[in-house]
Amino acid sequence: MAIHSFYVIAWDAGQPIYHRTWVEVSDNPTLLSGLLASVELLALKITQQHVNVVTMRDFRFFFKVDDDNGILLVFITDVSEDPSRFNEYLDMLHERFLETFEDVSTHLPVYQRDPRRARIFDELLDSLISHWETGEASLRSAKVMDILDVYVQFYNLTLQKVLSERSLEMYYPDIERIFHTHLKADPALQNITVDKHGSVSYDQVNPDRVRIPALVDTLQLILKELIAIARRTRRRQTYETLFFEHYAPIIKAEHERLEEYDLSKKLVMELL
Amino acid sequence: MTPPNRDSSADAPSYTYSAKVVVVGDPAVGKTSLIVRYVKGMYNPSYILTLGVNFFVQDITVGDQKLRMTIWDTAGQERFGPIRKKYYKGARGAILVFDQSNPESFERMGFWIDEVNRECGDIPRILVGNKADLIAIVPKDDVQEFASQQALTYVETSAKTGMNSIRPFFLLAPSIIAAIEDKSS
Repeated sequence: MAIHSFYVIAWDAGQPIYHRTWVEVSDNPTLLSGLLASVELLALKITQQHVNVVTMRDFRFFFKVDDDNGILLVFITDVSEDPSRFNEYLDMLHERFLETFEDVSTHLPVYQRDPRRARIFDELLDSLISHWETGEASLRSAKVMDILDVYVQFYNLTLQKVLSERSLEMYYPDIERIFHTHLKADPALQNITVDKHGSVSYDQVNPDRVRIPALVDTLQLILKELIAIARRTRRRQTYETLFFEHYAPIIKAEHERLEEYDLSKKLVMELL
Repeated sequence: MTPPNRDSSADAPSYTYSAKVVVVGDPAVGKTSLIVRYVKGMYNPSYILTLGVNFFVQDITVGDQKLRMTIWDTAGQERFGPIRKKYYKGARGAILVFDQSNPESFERMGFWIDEVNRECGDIPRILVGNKADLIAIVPKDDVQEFASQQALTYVETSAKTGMNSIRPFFLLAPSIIAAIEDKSS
């Protein structure tokens, strides 16, 4: 992550309230604040909308306007930065900035004469930035665990509720083979196991090592084959009844995670 | 309902439920220590800031059913707020932890309950007063009154000595299964 500078600007006057630069450049904060405010103002005049992101050569400028407090927040980063993620960070900083600089529009002259608050915010900002990388890695791991959790619920349902006990016993060698075949290619997923009771475990999976697109593909293929077995062992009408009895409530309960990870369509199509 | 037990593979449960459980509370109240004590049966006295989230998976058998809890150890640090909210998705249970020797952490329980309500809705939850090995500064009557107002089961624990450290999870498990079954019916 390459962050160059962060600015908080008095929106109407184009004056800097707070700025911090992490790269060795000779920024003129007053001049740059005026220019950044002008970019935002120009966009507003022409399009009637605030601008969120502007890309210029190797740089990306993330803007956030707070009309209520009359401030403009701007992050200047490398062009490689992900806009969606960065806008989220900007929201977080906005919240923290207003906590540090209470009633900024009223007290601005006081704040400008008092550097202590800026120093408090310096520390907060540095701490946030140093932890973002870890936070992002953690979010990625959370996604892996969520996806595993969602799929494993459907596996368990299929093996323990949709398949009869007798069918589970009869097809267990096939089920083991399905898991083995699909998981063997990815060392990170080999710790997903299924026991003879049809209970699937993933507690030994290290989420840091899992590649998410490959994970979804693999889990989907396993689901497809498990459903094929379930369909083979149940009459069509029985399978449909079991779908509404067992899968539908979980689809409903897991709606949020299914949508978040774009799994709804994939899963429902397979199960139906 | 039969009391819960740690899973024994000899007795095959009729069905394995899976549930995400979030453990929330202010920084340094002992969330990680409580989970590690429960899952691994050990206590690490050095405080390590939890960055983002850690995961632990633990099976609990309740009668003839098994609950596979994915326990999410969320970071209490306020500065991770927007990130933390993402971790609540799909949670089926919550353990709300405060430090009995730190009144501020108890006062902030309202904030944590609001966040759980907002992000997860009405899911089963347990209130935990950790660090029972230290002198309790938060008055017990206040805690009991708060628990009663919020309709929460309250448990005192000490991750350090191991006192009651498995109890919050065992109390939560039957409620989670009941909630899942209720939604399924």
